[in-house]
Amino acid sequence: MTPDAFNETFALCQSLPGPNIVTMSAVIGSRFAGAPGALAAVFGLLGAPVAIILVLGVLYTRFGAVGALPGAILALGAAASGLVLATAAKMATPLIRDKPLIVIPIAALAFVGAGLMRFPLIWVLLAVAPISIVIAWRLTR
Amino acid sequence: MKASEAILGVLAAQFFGLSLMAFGGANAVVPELHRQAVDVHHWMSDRDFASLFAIAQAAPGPNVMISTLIGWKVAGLAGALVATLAMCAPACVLAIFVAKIWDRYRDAPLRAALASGLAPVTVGLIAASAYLLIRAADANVRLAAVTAATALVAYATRLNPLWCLAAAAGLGLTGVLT
Repeated sequence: MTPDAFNETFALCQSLPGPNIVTMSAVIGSRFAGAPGALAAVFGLLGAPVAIILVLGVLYTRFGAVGALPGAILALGAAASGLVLATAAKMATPLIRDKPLIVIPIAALAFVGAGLMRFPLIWVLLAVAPISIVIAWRLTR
Repeated sequence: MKASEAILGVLAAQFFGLSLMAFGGANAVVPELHRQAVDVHHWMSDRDFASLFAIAQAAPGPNVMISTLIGWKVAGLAGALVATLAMCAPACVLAIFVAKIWDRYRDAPLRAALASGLAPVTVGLIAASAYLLIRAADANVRLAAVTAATALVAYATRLNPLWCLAAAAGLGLTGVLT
């Protein structure tokens, strides 16, 4: 696989729905060996993490309330939410620098709809994404 | 139909839908996951949700592991496998299909408009994820300080985020945060 083909596949999977790393390994696997290749790639990617996360889940249920662990898990939750905040900020920075008057209102609508109003995601997507895509479409012409 | 089969059906349907709505990856559907798991189905508390998310972040593997953990919490091993499969399979099939016809539309302006139009929506959704997780996790000012410090370090440096998680967990173990 050439670097260009890799980047191309990466860009494709980023603009499609789904967990990007998983969809990307499925696409690459299928290119090399069809459906069995896709299955092998996805199972190869997810097999060990799924097993590990299940062990962690069992440990959490059994020992999550023991001794100092609740404090550690709370702290882990606080840090994990900080990581998500940083992810949003990192994604937003170049977009806002580029087109603040479009990006900020669109992102704010999605934030309010999904975060504050707690509307079902499908409504938020149907309400906000078409407007955003049409604006982006008109700007490229 | 047995109750356990019914709940597996609900899980499968829910994650099937999420799979095809996850523009920007698993973090973008955290608000919907939270809405379904906590508000609609009452499968778990707000606090439980934040803890499961934290464990999924700290564990090796892609972000999608949060669906595995939620499936496991709701319906055990079968739930974990059903949730993971339903979260991955539809999006994978779609991606493989689109990749096949992709070359023809590589330079299509519609594709570029789709990508740049969806990006700000994804930013808003991930910000909503952050808001909901922060609201669930930050029970006091010290925990909020951990969130702020982690966000700052992750935003401003290239440090592996696992160090932030490890430092926070270590601090939490000592009991000074709670």
